[in-house]
Amino acid sequence: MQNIFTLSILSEKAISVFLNKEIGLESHHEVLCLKNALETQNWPWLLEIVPSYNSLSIFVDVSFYFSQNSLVTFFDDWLSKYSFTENPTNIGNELAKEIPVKYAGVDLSFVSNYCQLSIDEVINVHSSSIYTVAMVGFLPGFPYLLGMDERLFVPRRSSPRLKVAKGSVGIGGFQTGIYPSESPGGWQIIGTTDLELFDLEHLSYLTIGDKVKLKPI
Amino acid sequence: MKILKKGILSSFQDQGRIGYQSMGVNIGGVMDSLSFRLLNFILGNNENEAAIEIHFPGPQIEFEESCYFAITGAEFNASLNSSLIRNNKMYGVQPGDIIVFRNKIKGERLYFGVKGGFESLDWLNSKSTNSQLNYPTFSGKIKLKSKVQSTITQTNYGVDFAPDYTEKRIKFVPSFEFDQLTEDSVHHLLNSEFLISKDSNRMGYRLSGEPLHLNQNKELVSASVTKGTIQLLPDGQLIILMADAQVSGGYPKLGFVIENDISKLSQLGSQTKIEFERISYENAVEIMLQTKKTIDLIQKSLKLREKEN
Repeated sequence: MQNIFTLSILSEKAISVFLNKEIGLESHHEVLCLKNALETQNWPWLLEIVPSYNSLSIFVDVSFYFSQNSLVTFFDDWLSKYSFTENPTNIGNELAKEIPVKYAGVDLSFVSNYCQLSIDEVINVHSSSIYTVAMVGFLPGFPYLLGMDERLFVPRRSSPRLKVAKGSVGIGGFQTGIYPSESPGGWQIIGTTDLELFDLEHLSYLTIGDKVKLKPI
Repeated sequence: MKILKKGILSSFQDQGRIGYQSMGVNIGGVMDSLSFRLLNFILGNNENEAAIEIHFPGPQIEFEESCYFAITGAEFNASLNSSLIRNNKMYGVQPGDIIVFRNKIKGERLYFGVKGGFESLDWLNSKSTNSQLNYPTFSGKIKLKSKVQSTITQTNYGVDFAPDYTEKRIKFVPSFEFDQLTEDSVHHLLNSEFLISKDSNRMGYRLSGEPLHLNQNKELVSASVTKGTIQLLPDGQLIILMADAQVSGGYPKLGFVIENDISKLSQLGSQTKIEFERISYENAVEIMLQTKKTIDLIQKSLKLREKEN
């Protein structure tokens, strides 16, 4: 039988746990449950847990090694005793946050051709899903949204653009997301939003587990 | 303190911002944490007191208050007014004194700090400049936290400790997709040289060398990356993520460069050749703890000396 998880050492002070499960809402939910379970342990050396689609990384400080020898051994033991499918906690807002999107991105016609859908259909399909924020990364406040209709799966650009405008809504493979600030980027851009996704005081507008609805304007 | 010339890439840095990666805010912080820690020990500061990380050409700084300062890390032929100053030693200055960095002798990043620390903006428990947001910004006028009435120019608080910045063997621990490298690629990784390319910066060092390949190309989803992560790009070249590493990435990962050697690497510039030396995770931890011991000892002896004086 395949193990339920795989451990990979990320640095002397960080380890990644991968769930050997298909990427989707279910595995993501399990990641968030595991995060909660780890956080309730109150380990004094635990700095931060960073979840992503089907994995999470645990960052510790050096004091971990005052009482333990190995992150691998420690978490292998701990995770073997953890029951992965229990702890069904609700994480994030159930109420979808609405984001106004002007669907007029530079790659909209490419996406329409690639997917063999009309532009209106692309907009329709992209804006009718309820998305879940799987992770925030890449840039401060950049949401990776899970739940895109598979008719819209489009590969990334073979060579990334040096500049993608702030607010750009893009598709990269099965993922869709929004650039909170100008940045280089390789995703196919289909629209833009004026909504501020990150500010210095409140940080990320969207957080992991949030539900999101994109509203065409 | 007045910054007469800003220099390139001068920024406030400390050990970084931890706890906000889930918001996409990276850890950031100093590139050469060894030199940074040493600086604060010499100054008798808190271990994480923010310093100015300086690249060459460096800034020109005029002191407006009496204070004590020190420099560690790279050697940029620093002079105070017109006399040469050494690394790893504390100096006293008077208002009007000017420090300049004349030329690059050794290393890439120099750390400049004052006793008591700078009064710089704190954001999310760190004074490091977040490079993605360019915040908090490095500005032209800097206040010092503590006031000193008068100073003596030469002090005894110094230390003879310099990491070896010429060491080109970089130790790494294999992890993640390392096992999926082709046999040839493993051989190249462990036996050939890699050139630090000019597209290298605080975010990552791009290497150029024999292209490496995985047995099968895997489409990966984004997951955590951090300082030290070795990523394999689609064209077979490597990137070593440095202090300004983003929080997540989707390229295959071959492992990580150990903490100690990230400090070394920080002091190597573009066009330098490096080699990889494979070590175990257990060995990496041992080296980290050994370094901590050495550094703790240095700190203890400096504290003792300060008491005696």
